[in-house]
Amino acid sequence: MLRPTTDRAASPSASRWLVLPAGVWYFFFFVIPLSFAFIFSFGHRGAYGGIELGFSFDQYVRLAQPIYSKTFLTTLAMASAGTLGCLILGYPLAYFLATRVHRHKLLMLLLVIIPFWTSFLIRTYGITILINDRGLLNTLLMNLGWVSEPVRLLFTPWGILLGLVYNYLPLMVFPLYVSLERLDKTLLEASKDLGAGRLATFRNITLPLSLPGVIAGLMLVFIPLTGEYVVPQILGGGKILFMGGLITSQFVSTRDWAFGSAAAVSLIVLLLLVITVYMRRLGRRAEDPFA
Amino acid sequence: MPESWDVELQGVTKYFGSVVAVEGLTLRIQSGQFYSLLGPSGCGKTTTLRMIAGFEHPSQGIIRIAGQDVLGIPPYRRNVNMVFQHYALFPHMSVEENVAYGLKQKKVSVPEIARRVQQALAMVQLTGLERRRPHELSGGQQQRVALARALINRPTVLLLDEPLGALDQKLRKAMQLELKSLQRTVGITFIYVTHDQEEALTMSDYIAVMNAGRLEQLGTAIEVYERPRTRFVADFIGLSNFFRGEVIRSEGGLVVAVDRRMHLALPPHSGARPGQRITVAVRPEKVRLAPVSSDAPSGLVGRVASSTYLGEQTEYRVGVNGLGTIIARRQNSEIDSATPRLAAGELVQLSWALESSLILPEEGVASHEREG
Ligand SMILES: Nc1ncnc2c1ncn2[C@@H]1O[C@H](COP(=O)(O)OP(=O)(O)OP(=O)(O)O)[C@@H](O)[C@H]1O
Ligand SMILES: [Mg+2]
Repeated sequence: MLRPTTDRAASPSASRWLVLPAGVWYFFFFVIPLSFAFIFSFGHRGAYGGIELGFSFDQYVRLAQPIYSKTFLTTLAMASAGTLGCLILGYPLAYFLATRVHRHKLLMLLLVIIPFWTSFLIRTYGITILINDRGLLNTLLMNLGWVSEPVRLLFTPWGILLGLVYNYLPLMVFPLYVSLERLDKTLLEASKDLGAGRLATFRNITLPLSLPGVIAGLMLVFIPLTGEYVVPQILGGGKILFMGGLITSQFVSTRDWAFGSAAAVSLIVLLLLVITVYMRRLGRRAEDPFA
Repeated sequence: MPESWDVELQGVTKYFGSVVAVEGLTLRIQSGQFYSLLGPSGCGKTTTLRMIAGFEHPSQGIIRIAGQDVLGIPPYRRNVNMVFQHYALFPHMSVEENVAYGLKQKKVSVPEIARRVQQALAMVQLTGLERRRPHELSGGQQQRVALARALINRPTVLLLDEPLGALDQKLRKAMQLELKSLQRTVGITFIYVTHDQEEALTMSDYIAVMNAGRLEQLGTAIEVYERPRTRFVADFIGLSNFFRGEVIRSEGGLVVAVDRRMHLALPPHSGARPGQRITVAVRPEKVRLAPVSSDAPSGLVGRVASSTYLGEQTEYRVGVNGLGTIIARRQNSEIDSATPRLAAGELVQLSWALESSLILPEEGVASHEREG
């Protein structure tokens, strides 16, 4: 006997198993470690490092000290600036790729990710060669006579920003590209047909319809940026501390797991807060069933 | 020629690389007409509309809108609006915002926009759905929004690209009538693209039949249906039986020798000359069938090969020696005891009025020559 297989595949009991592998993965490598971090954050540093469990808010109180809250603010400010930088550079690039490139589209997209084929560390060290006082950039600027002495970039917030944007740009470009690429081009023609010029058409149609891509891009860049510690370490010369760096040092060098956990949990809570607020504001505008 | 046309195309040709989409198209569309471009898929209808709207530029030829050459004028400065095949409604805007879009671009005052949006929505019977998003509307309602969004701008010409293509049969019929009456009310020139001959026949004041980028025939619905000038038109608009042969002289006048044995009489004043090779077309509904009564029937006799019930009509395929299969259609309402339904295998007598024979030039030497 022949049985239709489609309704079986579509039944909820069968499709439930599809989430199992990912579910197990998330449970063991996300939920459990996170629970550990949460529990640890209420404990104390053991006499020889490690953790002594307990229930106190001491670590969170410690975090409220100006030195640490400044790290929080620095992290948020730098991550926001880096995200914005990616958006400013990424949107025109994605727009160009999605609408103006017709041949060799795949090749162009490949060029965007090729830097990802090199190790993150090597890329970031590579930047130090470009932007140090006697690097390519400064040599060029001085030879052109545009500046008389080297522009200080390495070990400054600007250097870090440059590194952040450089490393995270593709994460912004891809979701933007996808949302612009699948935008129905007849909508743009309809807009022009109704009397809107190119700029008005961009403002009224392209931009709002690419908003889901913008949101996805902002998330994809902003979230990992707040946990970033390699770039500030290398390009900031350790002078500018991000939360990521603070947490790493607590676990690796200071061996204060309780404090490190408290910092990690706070960062997560803070991120959730920022994202919720921001989703509320942007999400409403991008509420679009076609996206 | 001080004649004024709303839209005039003069020798318009459009190449896409080596593909010829439209070739030497000349059309004159009068103000207030319901003008259809009819033709099979790929014949260049959409391309023609897009050139009038300004989305494509002719490779050769001139397009004038309201007497003005529109070469180089971008779509947003042409007083022409388009209803797109899949409507192209803005998904992130409400019905109201969609309809108001054109007036907003023209910086019309807010109260004026509100007034005209209400007017336009009332015209297409969508009052009350202002706040809905396009995806919350049925296909027919989306179609109306697209119409309102275009008509609110009071264009010189409204271009419609198979606007009913996505609707089901019944809604299509209803919308056809509605569109037609709407066009009469607003008095705006409609250029209507369709590949559905029935639709073109019922709605149009004037039809341009296109084939492979060229104009095949121009005329009213009656003209293109009753007096097709090429085999293509006779075949595309309605069904036809075709008989090819040479015109010869016989006792009764001119006949077409389709076969050595088969001669078809030609209507008087057909314009055919002896020696000419022509095609005769006869519409299936013009073919009369009668059961053979005598033992030695005269005239065209054939055997019913199959009968197909089509609802209003029944279609018979009748095999005739020397002529092949002839298709005949009979109204089912005419079936009674005197003229019963015919069964497969039955011998029947075929006939048609002389003036039902349409004389067409032989295929290949039609109104135009094709170069390779
Ligand atoms: N942008 C384009 N690039 C290349 N060829 C094209 C382009 N647009 C249309 N064509 C070609 O031009 C010809 C006419 O196309 P057009 O879209 O005008 O046909 P149509 O009559 O509207 O057909 P349909 O009824 O299927 O919509 C076709 O052969 C098509 O492949
Ligand atoms: Mg088309």
